[in-house]
Amino acid sequence: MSEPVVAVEPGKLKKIRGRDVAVRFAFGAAVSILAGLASIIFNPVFGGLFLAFPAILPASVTLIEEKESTGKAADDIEGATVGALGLAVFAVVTGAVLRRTSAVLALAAATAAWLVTSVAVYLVIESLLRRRALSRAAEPGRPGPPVARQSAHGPRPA
Amino acid sequence: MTPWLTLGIKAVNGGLFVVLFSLIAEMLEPKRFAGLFSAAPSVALANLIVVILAQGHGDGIANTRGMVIGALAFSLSCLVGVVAVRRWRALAGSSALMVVWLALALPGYAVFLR
Repeated sequence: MSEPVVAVEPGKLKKIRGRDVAVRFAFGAAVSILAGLASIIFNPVFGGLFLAFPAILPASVTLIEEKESTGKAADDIEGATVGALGLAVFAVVTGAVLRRTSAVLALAAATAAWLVTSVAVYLVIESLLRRRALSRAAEPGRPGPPVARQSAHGPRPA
Repeated sequence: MTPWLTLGIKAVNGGLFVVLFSLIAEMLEPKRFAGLFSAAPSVALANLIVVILAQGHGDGIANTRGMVIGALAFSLSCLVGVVAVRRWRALAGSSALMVVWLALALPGYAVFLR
């Protein structure tokens, strides 16, 4: 059976270790300091580059690899490719709305724009990938239904 | 507010927002969908709130100009990162992703924003 397109599993929150939360907090704080220092030393435009620095990604994909597999870690980065496009939309909307109205409205509109763009692009890509997998499976001589991609590497040993 | 106090507030705020978005991502499946939240505007929101309150709209708008280039570099570097992680595993592959981001974002800034 193929994976669902989107699923929410709140029970997974119980499995989160305090160490994982601390690592993510530390990475978030470090990137914020980096962006802030770049703004102080150079200028706010240069500092803005680092508001989209992927420094949190190594922490999250390493944790995913530890718990699940290398293939799942790569899947996470595939999602981040789309999320980062949404991040560019977030920046454009924040800049445009901030010129006209309040910060609260600008950041709320930009966050909504990030979410809508990212989810819409994800759904389009996912439906195209699934349609292609189905048509390939239907080709004569191809065995079995489509299955989720498997990684060459399993989870890291504890 | 001194620049160093502002920096401290940004750091704490950045850490909290990253944890918040990562908890949301943790609940989501499949991982490709959860990955959208690996590129959530967590650090951006945390920093822009402080920048706008402490320095005003002008600096916030300037930040977003740089962020557009940073985000496009992020997306392109992820394309390389997917291949790199499958080949070299998570730590080495995602480190390569960050190097590619720097190789795209810094020249992008020099060409389009300087």
